[in-house]
Amino acid sequence: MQQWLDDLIAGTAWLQALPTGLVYTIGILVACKLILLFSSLLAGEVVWLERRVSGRMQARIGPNRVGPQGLLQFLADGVKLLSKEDVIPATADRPVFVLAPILVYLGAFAAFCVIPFGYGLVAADMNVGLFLVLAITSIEVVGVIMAGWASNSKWAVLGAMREVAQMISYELPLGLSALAIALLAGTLNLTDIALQQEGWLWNWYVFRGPFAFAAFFLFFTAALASLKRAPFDLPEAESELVAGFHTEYTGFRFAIFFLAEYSAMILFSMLAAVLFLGGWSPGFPVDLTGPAARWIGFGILFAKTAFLLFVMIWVRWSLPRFRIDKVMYLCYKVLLPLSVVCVLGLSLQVLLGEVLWGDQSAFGRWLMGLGVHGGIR
Amino acid sequence: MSALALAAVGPAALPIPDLTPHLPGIVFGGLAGVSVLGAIGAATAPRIVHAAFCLLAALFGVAGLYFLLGADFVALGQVIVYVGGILVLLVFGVLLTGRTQVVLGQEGPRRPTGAILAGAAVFLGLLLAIGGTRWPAQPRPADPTPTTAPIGRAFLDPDQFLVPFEVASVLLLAALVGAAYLARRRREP
Amino acid sequence: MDLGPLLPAVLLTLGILGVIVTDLLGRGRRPAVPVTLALAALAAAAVAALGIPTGDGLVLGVLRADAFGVVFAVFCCGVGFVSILATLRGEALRTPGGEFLTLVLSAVLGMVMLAMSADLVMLYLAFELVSIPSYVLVGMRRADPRANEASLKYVLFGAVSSGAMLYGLSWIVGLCGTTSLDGLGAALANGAASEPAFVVASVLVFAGFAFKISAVPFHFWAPDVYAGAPAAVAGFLAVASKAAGFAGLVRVVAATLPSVPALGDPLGGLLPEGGPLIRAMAVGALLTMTFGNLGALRQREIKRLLAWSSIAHAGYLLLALCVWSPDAMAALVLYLVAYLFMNLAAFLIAGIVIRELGTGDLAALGGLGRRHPGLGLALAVVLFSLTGLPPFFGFVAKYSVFYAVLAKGYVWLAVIGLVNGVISLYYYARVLSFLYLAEPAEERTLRLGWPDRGLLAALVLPVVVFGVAFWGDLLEWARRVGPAVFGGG
Repeated sequence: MQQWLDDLIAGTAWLQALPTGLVYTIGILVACKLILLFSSLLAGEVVWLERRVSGRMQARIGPNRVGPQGLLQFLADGVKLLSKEDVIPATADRPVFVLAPILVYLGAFAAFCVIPFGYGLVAADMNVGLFLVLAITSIEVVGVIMAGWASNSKWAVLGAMREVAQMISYELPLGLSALAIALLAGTLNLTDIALQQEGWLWNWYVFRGPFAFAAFFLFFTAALASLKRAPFDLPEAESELVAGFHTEYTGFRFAIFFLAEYSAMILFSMLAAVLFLGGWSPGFPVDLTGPAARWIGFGILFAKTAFLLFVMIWVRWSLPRFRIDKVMYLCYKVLLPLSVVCVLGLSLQVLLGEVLWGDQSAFGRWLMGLGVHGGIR
Repeated sequence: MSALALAAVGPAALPIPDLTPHLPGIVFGGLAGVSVLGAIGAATAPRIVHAAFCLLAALFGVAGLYFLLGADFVALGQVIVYVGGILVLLVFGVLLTGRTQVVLGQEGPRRPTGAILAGAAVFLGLLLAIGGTRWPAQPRPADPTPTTAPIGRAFLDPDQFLVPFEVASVLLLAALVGAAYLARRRREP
Repeated sequence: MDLGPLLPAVLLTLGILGVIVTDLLGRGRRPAVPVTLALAALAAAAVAALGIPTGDGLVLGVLRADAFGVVFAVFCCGVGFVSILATLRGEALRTPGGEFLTLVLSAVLGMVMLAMSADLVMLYLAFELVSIPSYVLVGMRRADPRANEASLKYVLFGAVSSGAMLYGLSWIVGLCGTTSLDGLGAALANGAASEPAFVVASVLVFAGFAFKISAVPFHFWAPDVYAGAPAAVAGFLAVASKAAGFAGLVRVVAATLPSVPALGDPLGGLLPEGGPLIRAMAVGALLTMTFGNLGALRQREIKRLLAWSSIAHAGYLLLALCVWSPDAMAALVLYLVAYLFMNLAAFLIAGIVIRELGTGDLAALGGLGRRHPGLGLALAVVLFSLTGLPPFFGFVAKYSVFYAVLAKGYVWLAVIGLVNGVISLYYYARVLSFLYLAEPAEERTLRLGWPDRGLLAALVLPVVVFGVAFWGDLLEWARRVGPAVFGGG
């Protein structure tokens, strides 16, 4: 980012006349605005996707009137939500009630700044990128609990409590399975992680041995749970809690919650694609780091993200909702031990691979090949 | 947009003060302000839940300060542990025990003059000590170096912090056992 | 890399894991297995500690396995051992559960690390590893509101004081740029010691340790906590936790003192010369002795009385510490050993009495000395020894402390100490007057099992033996061990 801005300043006469700090500040603000715009628009489109896919799965049509195939439906929805009355319940805790949607959206949106959309297409290429995503998304929990408490409604409080319990619990398998990849990659920088998976398909981290393979599914399941998507959607279980923590929210504030939810879906799908599915690598060796080629990379990453998003929607209409104790059981007694096993197995794999073959993934690939071979026979 | 407008007028027409060298100072002031205000709010908020949420601001401000000092890993650790973990547990505990409507300060001393005076004295003492000391300050590195790998190596280096690192895990285990014991459903005779 | 000095810690950690696993596997049906395992781990750790080749060098960068650290490691393992044994037929914990054993073992591990630490990070972590299990141990009897209150009080005091200590440590690290105690000494010698921030930081660090050793004015928690905790836990805190606190304090003083210039002396030589830490300790010693003994005068419950008495004893120990000479360090070690036997025996008797009579009220002791001559005699011996009367171990210990104080010429400090000894005679003797002179409240005999008798005998006998004979040898030993903190041993 700084490099890019420096180049820009060096090449533009009138920018040189301005103070450097001011240019930096404005540059950062513009980048933030772009990401905000991108994630919001995309979130809107994911809402459309969800409605169309669920329509198809339930043998109906879904929104197809506004724009081609109904693509602009979210704009119409947005206008509708904006023009609604902004209701704050009389017994609500006003400042907290107002603050809550902002925090939730912050948690979902701020992490996009370290996600590489393609080689070099990243707002902040940080060394602790992966850690930052996990840290920032944990802020969302605070926003949720604020919303639930400030609404002064039993549905909201119950929903918030469920959600918080679920989110902080599933943060553990989520973090551990991401850590498994950090072990393989030896870095937390997301661009570097993506670059390491270039080349053939089996360079993708998901195919680097049985533990990495398992880690991908653990990550995706834990992500579903921390996104409170079905079958883990009991924080807002419509049939019991009206709408969970945002029961009392209307109009634009509700829209922010809604956007945040879908932004977070995109975020985690993208993260999963970068961590496990090769980032912008198409599965065969091709250099996508050039100034123009990186946009092709962006398209490839986008396609992977879209696929994962589709899977999320697909799962929603295929599986029934869990009970809260089952959700906790699944987290602490199934996913957590499994992800610990993954981390241990991967460290063993890296160690053995480096000692025996001089290549940390060799042992894992060998194991995986053994499994595939056995499967075919 | 404003930058473009200014550029159209021409930089010469509008003298813009160059604040670049002061940028770290400005950011520091903002972050420090956030954490101090948050801390004051946490100490004085009449409702316990509000106090907890004010703590959020304080913790965030401190995380920002770590970032400013180039300690990115510590900053994120602060966010994930304090904001995502401890603060949430705090609020959760308050909600579960159903004391959300308690207004603090009703049972305490009527006139907190003594406490305020003592606090002010301590504050003044600390301030004087900080001001009167020549701290061995190091210049902030212009280009922050990654800290994650050095921290990890220091933790696993037998000549540095390997033993404290392992002791910390025993500490967490003991705390876990203790917490589980205290929180477990009672089945005593 | 020599891992030998780490062996006690490794054994204790294995013990913790073993206790957790066997407790879970046995589902509480075979409580003897984890108990045996815990006792074995403590014994093995003590033996391993004795086998450590002592030296002045650093181990693994953060530990120092000199004779002083080894002695404290053995000491704390021993106290943990006795405390677990005392709980086997203890006040309210019929059979110690796996949690109790795990927590005791972790606290002992923390104490061992604290006594050996040569790095501030290690020091603070070990400090917390002692504190956090202690908080839970105090609140073990969850059904008892007094235990809950005690635990909460302990947590709050502990959190505030360890926060203060951590803040002080952060200043010191900021001032010196290193966490290693050796590096600290070097940086302080280079002028950092004369900064005002160092004075403030020293006071803050002392506040943290003062809580752990229950020195005035950070002693408020002690009576309530000891009264609410099971007697065996109270004994564990009063002896092991306090000793570990002293060991840590000694480490900090030893690292910082040689390079700290003496403060100016407005009081004309009344206080021992030295840096801010020494001054704080000297004032703390005087306050602690005096308030501890005065506070004990009014107590009517045996555990509260012992709590105040243990506060007073912290004062004597601080007195030895603030003199800071080889003699004084030898006296400190000797005193702590004597204190171990006397105080553990006293808390054991308190535990037995409370278990059998259901109350620790002094009036309930009425006539007990006549019905149980053995128990009465043991209590009398222990109390006289705690007062510091010859021919008991307590006298030898107190004598060596006052000797060290006088050898440095602080006559009036020794005089105040002696006056305090006289005050303490009053309340210790008052217990004995209940024991032998008062009419029994109700005729009840105590059921003393052989474990009670055996443990009591093992604790009381040394008090007599070392008071009558062998104390010369013990003094020789302490003279070798104590000054090891100055280096070269």
